[in-house]
Amino acid sequence: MRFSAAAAVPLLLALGCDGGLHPEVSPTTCTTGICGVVHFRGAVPDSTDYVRVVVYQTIPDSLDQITSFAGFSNPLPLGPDSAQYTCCITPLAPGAYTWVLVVWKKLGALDVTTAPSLLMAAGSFLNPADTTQLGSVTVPAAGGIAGINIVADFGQLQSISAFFPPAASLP
Amino acid sequence: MRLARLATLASLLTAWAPGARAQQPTLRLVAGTVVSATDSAPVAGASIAIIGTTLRMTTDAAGRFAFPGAPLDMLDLLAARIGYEPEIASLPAGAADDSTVIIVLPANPVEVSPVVVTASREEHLAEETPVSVSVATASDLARRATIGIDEAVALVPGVEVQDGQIGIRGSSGYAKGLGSRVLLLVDGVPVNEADRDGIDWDVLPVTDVERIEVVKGTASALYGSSALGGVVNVITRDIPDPLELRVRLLAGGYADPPYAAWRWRTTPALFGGVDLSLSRRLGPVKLLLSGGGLSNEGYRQNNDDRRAHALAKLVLVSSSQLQAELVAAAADESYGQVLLWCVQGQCDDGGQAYQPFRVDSTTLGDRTRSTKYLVQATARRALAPDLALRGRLSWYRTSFEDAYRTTTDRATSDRLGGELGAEWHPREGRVIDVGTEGTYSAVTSDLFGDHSETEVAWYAEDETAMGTSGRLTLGARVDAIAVDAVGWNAVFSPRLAATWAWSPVRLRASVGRGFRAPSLAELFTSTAAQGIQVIPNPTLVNETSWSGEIGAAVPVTRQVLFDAATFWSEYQNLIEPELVTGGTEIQFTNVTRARVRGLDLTTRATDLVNGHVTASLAWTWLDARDLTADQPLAFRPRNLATLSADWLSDLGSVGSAALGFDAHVASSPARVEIFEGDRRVAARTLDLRLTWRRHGVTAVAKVENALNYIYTLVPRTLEPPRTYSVALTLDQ
Repeated sequence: MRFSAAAAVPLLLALGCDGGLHPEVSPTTCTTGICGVVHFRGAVPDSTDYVRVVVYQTIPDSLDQITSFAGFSNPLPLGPDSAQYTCCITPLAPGAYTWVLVVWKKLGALDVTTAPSLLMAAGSFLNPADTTQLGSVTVPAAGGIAGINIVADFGQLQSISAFFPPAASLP
Repeated sequence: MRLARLATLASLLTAWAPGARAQQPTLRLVAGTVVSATDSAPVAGASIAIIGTTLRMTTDAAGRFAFPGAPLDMLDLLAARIGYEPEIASLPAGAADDSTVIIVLPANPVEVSPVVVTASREEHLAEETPVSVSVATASDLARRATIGIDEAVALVPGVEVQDGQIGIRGSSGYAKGLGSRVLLLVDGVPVNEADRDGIDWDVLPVTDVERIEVVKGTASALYGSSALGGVVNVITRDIPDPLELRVRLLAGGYADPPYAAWRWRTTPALFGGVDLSLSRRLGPVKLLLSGGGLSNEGYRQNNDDRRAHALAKLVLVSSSQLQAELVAAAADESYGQVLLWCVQGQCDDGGQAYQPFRVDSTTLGDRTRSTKYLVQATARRALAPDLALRGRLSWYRTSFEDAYRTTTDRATSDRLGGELGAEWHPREGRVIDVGTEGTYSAVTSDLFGDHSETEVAWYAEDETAMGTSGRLTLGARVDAIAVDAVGWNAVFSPRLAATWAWSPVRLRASVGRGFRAPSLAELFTSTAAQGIQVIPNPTLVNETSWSGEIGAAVPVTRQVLFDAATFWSEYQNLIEPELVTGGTEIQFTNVTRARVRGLDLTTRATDLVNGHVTASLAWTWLDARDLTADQPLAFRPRNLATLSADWLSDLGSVGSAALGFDAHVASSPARVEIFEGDRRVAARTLDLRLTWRRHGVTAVAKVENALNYIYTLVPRTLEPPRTYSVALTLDQ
């Protein structure tokens, strides 16, 4: 019994230390461009081609600029309540970007003429200080900017062209 | 002389039918009663055997037994019963007149030396077997209010169960239950799955289990394929003569995760279940019927589980010459599939890198339905005091349906088995066991295709006493295996083992060859997993091993038994999933040569502190290396340790109570095969329990993983957090 009791001490001590696995916060720094989390709301429409994060330097003011993205992300995984993203596929040049949004693309060939009916805004990055306003993002010369989180609501899809001309506040 | 004996044996093998032996030698009746040393009350259900003969039986309700055909020689009677210490009573050589004996069994709530049958098909005290055997008895299961058989097996020293896959002394890592290197027996009958060669731990309700024997080390010389790493034999419980009704109610719940960032539901997840059994003797037949179910909301997302099971057992108890029993079991389970936990972006991750209690949202709703049916009949007939025949027939069907969002996979498999054997005691101290066994496995599946495997085997084992202190066992088995009835290949599995009593120390040593035939799933799986194609490999060959062990059981005092064993296994052609064709496809291949060696130290103590305390401490050290790749074998912890203790207290008219705990530590494996970059921690759990008993009522309150320690055994697969439960058993 003395042997057992003596051996039990280190065993119980081993149980007591090291709390096992613990939460790890997602990386908050981007090495390049912008990154964040998209939180999804509503049901994904059946006719979905893809959903991406898209960045415009300024809000387009005409239809022929509708596909003039400064950059866009890989398609986001659909099904989860949220998805981590990094933008963009091609590096985003340092500078200010007025509109960062989640775009839902309907099945079909995309060009300037079909874009108003195929590209829908599911949600935009909002100004954290005033969530009625779009949020502007400035990508630094070195590194990226994190925490650009967006709520994308598939029940509130709006044609991108609905945002033309530049809006002072959200419709 | 030897040829003459064999000729005699051959002629007797044909003499199954009663009366086939025209002339009996002069015999005597040996009868008696088994009583308890505590109150002289008769002990019903005690197993009693005349050592050195084929004669064995179970005492009736009055504790009585009778062997009408016992030899005239001096006899040793071994009596054993759970809750008592085994006792050997000697009878002098006598004339043909009747002999009666009273055997007194000292009570012992925790058996120091349980009787086991799996190590050599013969009954032996656990520490007298030539290989290491551990036993979990019904009282162990009841004290812990165990829910599943795997839960009980996981506490056996040297054993680890990882997400249902068992490894004994490092024989197996983790392969999602596929290709088990451990053979599961139910009352000695093999019941590994016919398609995946995996183990269904829920095939029997744990409430109907008498004991679980775990043989550590290869046992292919006795049991053939899959017994490469060891054997788990689940013995169904004895049926008492009087009408018995047993009800167990179980309820519990899971604690919140220890960190708010991981909370995933607002109310605790709960579970509850009921088991009901009814048994009694009806003339020459004992009958047990049981059924039950369990509903569990699960401690993780998409982890709910609903189970139902039924069991019928029929035992023929007409005489000491013939024992026959039929067991039929069915189990059904429907559960949410949790493949991996959620990492960032796959679910509402709350800004966390991973959420261990949640799953990828795209897999929500994935479910598996699994059913099992088992029917087995076994019989043993003593034709004479020196000769017994035994036979069995079995059928085991498993089917599952994995219903994923985009695909559904199904498989139904059948395993038909039969065995005929003989046990011959040519002289005192010698037993020869011979037999033949056949198995036919077939599967119909959209994953594995439609295939079959046929296996025919012949085995023989000779166990001989060496003087009064030792025993030598020499055995071998030949298995012939064909897949889809073509390409027969034969495997030879010899074994040499010995025990030696060097008072008071009992030494044991064994060496043997083991093998495992590839499962039909490993040969023929064709599917796509996460964008990678899994392709068949019909050219797989058997895994083989040479294994050895040297051990010693040392009674330190009357209450304390110390056991030490060092073991070694050299594996060839281990089957592993490998990336092939430039990393675009997965195929099971014979790639690995491996060596596993280690040390097992166990101390068991009873009757300490004026009979109040029982305790055990076990430590296993493993060195498991893949010699082909010169790296550690995956999913093998280097250290396993378990400390258990119970404080028993008699509360007089209020009943009795016990307070106990199990502390279990498994070091983090040096290597895993998936998600190697994930943080790994050791498994450390502390389970607490309080048991109260009075007049056939037992209540157990438990807190498992009391420290709410968060860990994994398999990457990205969370083990249960702190779990509270209460079990109430009524035994009338």
